Amino acid sequence: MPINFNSTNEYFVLPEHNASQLYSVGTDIVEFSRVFRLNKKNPAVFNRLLNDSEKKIIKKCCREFEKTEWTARFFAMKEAVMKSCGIGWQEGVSWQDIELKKSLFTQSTNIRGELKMKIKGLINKNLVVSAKHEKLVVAYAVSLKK
Amino acid sequence: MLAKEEIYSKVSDCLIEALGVDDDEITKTATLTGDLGAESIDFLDIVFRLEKAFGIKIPRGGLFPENILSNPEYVKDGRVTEDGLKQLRDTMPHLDVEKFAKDPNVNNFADLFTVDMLVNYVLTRLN
Repeated sequence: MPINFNSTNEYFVLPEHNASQLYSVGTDIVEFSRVFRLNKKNPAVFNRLLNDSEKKIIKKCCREFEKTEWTARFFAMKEAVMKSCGIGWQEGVSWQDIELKKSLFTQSTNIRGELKMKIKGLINKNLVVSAKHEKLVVAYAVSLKK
Repeated sequence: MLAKEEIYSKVSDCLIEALGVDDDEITKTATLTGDLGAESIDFLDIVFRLEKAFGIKIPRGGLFPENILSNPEYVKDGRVTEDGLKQLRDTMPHLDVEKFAKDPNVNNFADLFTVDMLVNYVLTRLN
């Protein structure tokens, strides 16, 4: 299915003639200040949010605001993906069931664990993007039908 | 076993730490999002702190009914249906569903999440 991402991967276009393959959409917004504050007060929280590969991306960031930005992106994208799956957070589903791939402006996801079992037979693919604005990050996700 | 007042006190401490609010802002009926200004990322912190404070594991979806508003069977014309209310009663005994049922407009849904709701959840889990 052809899906066109723009040059910075901040949005994508689902061709109208393929709209019938759309299962659901999800979106989320996070303020950087919230993430920054949480990271200062209780950084252990992010151990349950992030996968090892995502932690590596954050670890590579040299500046504090970059770390905050990436953490906010991951949080917003995971929330958006979960919403686009349309099943809500159910027992057994973990934040780490959603692994975000690509190093910049994540485009695709690796769904695993309990979440993978729950969407089996319903969803073929999840796509997600995030865009940074002045004080916040916005994420959009779509799930495509089997 | 902890008494309800002790649980309330510990829950209040968790919210003060997580949300940076003053203790006089916390009342049993204070709503987490409306009155205390919690956002989705804050719930990650709140859940983490509650788990540590009470030695319990809180699964995602255990505390907050996150699959109600996204289900067309449970929401019609901007209101939670009888089936949706039943689902809430059956799966979320810590919520004050009867109060919400008087006007089950989805805009009132966040009012279900109060300080007392957290206390009741912990009480249920510890029992």
